Amino acid sequence: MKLRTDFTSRDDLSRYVSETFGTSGDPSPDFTGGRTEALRRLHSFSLHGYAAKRNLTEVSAVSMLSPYIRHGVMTLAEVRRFVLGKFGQGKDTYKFIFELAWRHFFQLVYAASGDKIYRDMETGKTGVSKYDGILPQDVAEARTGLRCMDYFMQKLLATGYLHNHERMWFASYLVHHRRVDWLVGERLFYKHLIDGDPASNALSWQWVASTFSAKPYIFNKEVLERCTDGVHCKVCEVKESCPFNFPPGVLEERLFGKRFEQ
Amino acid sequence: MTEASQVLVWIHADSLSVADPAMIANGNAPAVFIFDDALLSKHGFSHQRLVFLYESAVEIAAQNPLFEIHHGHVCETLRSLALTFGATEIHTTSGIAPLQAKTLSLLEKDFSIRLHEPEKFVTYKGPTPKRFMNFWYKIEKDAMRFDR
Repeated sequence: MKLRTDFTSRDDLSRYVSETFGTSGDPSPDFTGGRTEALRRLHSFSLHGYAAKRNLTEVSAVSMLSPYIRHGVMTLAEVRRFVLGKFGQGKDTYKFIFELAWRHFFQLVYAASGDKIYRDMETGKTGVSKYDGILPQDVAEARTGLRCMDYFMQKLLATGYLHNHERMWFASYLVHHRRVDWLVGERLFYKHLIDGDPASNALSWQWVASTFSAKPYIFNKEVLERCTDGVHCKVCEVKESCPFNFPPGVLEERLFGKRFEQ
Repeated sequence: MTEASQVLVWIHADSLSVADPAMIANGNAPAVFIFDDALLSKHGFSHQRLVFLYESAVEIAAQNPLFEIHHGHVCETLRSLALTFGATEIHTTSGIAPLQAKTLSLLEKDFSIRLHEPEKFVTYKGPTPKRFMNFWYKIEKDAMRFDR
């Protein structure tokens, strides 16, 4: 069935998408599709301070180009070339291209493995024998009581985007604290992330779960608080019972009954 | 998209761009992007995801009068459009999704298939990598070189 291409506004297009595909909601406030917007972002992106600030969720240090790269609106190769040409060599450029290379790495694994990326690539290292196959209701409804995790879920649903560290923290919480199968989280992200990519998404979840890495990824409150400028912890009501408020080794023992080599 | 054309260009969701290599190589050929009903049903993509894809496709339509957007069964839609335009060749940009290969394999007995290669991030010819850092050390020089 041929679809329309003549829209008078973004709202007009959004309404047509709803009518055609049965979806509801608003377009992402953060991302407008198309190469024009992709190029505008690329040309206005400043790499200054990227290496030091890219992990900070409350600072606009990341490029926000991932939806465009994922869909081939622009390629990894042209982003790499542009950045090297504009900013030259340096620690910020190095770190940025290092991050681009992760995507290429995942693509190569996907090219070789195909749909096997939806099964454990390796035996998990956690020693945990059983994971739940459904998303817990309190997580789905963003009412776990953990301000950080509830915020991440709300943000995912409202904007279709999460900072990379927010993704990692959410994934670690869901898989290691809630014992939910990584594939459940993978499905959730793939449905909502505008940059949702089979390879990057599935293999990142597996990297967190330890089925595509040497050990499970965990984080503690100190890291989350530092990277988020404490915006969640300041208003979180769990306070002393925060499940992340332990040194990394203690967290590993609580979650897995053992410590992993650092 | 009314005149006969030897080539039909398939734009897919891994190369949804006015800079798509297959489309650039066939400037006067009809081109199509198809929302895959089976995939939409399987994943239940969010409204935001679909709007982003649609906006990206509409931008192509604004710059290429021979470009259309459809939804349906991808293979059957490609086959139907190719027959409508009298196309004997289907061109597309090479991707890695297994579904692309499967779709093309179903069409290759009736049409000549031509894959166009996107520019590569780096040239890597080693075994499939397993750990990122090992991979990075192998490609680091190539990735950081400007004049390649």
